[in-house]
Amino acid sequence: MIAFSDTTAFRLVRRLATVGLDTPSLYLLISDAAEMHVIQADITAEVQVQLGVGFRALAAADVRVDRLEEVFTQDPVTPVTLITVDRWLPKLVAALDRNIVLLTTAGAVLLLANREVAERMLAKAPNLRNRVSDIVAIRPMRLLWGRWLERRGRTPAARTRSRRPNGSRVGRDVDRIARSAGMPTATRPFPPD
Amino acid sequence: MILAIIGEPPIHVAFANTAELTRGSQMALVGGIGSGKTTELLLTQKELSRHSDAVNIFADLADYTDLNETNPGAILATAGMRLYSRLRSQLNKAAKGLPEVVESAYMKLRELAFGKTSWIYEEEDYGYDPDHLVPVRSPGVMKLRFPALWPKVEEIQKLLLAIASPLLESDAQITLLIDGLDRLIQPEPFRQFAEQDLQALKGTKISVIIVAPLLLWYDRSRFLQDYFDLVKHIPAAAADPKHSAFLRQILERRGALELMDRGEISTIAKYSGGVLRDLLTLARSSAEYAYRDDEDRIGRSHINAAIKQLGNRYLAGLGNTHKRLLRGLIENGQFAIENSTARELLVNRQVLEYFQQRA
Repeated sequence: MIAFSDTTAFRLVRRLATVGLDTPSLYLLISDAAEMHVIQADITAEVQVQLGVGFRALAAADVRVDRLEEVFTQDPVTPVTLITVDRWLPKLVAALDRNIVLLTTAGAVLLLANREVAERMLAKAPNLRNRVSDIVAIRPMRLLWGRWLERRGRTPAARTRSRRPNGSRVGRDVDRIARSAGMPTATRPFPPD
Repeated sequence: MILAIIGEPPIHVAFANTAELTRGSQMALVGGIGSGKTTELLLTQKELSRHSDAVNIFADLADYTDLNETNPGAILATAGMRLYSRLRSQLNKAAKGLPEVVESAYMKLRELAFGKTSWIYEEEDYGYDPDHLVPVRSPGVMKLRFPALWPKVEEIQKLLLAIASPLLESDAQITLLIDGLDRLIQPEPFRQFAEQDLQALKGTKISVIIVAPLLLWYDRSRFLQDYFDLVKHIPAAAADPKHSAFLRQILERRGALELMDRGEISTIAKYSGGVLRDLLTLARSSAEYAYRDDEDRIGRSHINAAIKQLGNRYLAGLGNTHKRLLRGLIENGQFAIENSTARELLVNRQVLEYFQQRA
């Protein structure tokens, strides 16, 4: 099995910020199918906190093959697009491959897929493979940073427990934003992966 | 990227010369993904602009039409609409209007390109029912070299020529530079475009330079060589990193020495295999790894991480057959180009071709 380098939503979005949103970038993110919704939530929060821009999350099944130009029209309000490809959709992948220029002009495009789908995409979409800025294995932040955050009582769970016993969604979002603000910056070392 | 075999002009110069000397010539450019085909087209466009009467239309077809479906006529329609815009802006500057024939041709062309909605009465009787028509084919004695133009393509051709007529009458040198069709990967959809759109442009004095899928270069039917007046191939590797300092020079001229030592630059050049896109990817990824580690300079560990990451990208998605072929190439130096899987490896740049330069 090929081991791609690990990342988290925090690092990925920080990387987007480094490169700049005016530079087209296309990332293939590999994750376990069961964790996709957690990762999506992580990315949403990080984009809001770190970049302060709008964000579009699309399910691949909702993308119409004959309307790709509408999906990928450059929109200054939402320069980051996440497409979750949760199952193998050959027609969509072929369409993305042939119209790859649409993807690479739409700001930052993040394709989130499980390993099997990602490998099939790379095999069947040579143009896409070639234009991908990077392929990374993305993990939920609570898994990778768990102990470090737990020690500081900064995991979403720990903070939610301490503030809101019922752990409402609003509480979790507020918590995530607070946690992100307290995370390491470029001048402070990261916790070990 | 400027690729030149010693003794021959660079590709863009050869294309520009042919377009200027033989108006109406058709040329094809093939090369692996990321080999610099678009750059060559843009350089050709720049080269052609040396003459004041040059009308150069550069179009990435994917910007105009959905390449997911083969739609012959799309190249002609795109060319017609772009020529119309060019004419209109020229005449607007001179405060003149376009001839009526050009305006009406453009309106019809738009209708054919994007369709139209007509309002009709439901009960209208057309006098025949197309569902009940059955084709009866009587074979002729001659086999056409290329299939006949589709009626719609023929119609678009006439409209395009009507739009281009003011330019052609003034002896302007029109060149269409069409990018994007190499992304079709498979030769067959491209062949359909060529057999309709490009055939329709033959004899019109409008030159065409088109990017074609790399697989056609290896096609036994020699379609490219037979159909086009001039075919140029760009290898994916711009230079052999073992024998050329070209790649190192590129990085150094972009200021790499401010971020890394010469040893690191050589390593990046070596592991790029000579592919410019990979050279830049490796340099960029290494810089990102260094940034992540809060380092001011790119070190060996950052470059190694970037190389590993790029290598994994190339390995991902390969099946057993692909791997067997790669092993055969590494261990025995054997690589059967006739094999379709082997060609896939070439198209995807998992295998690179190096050409010895002629002295």
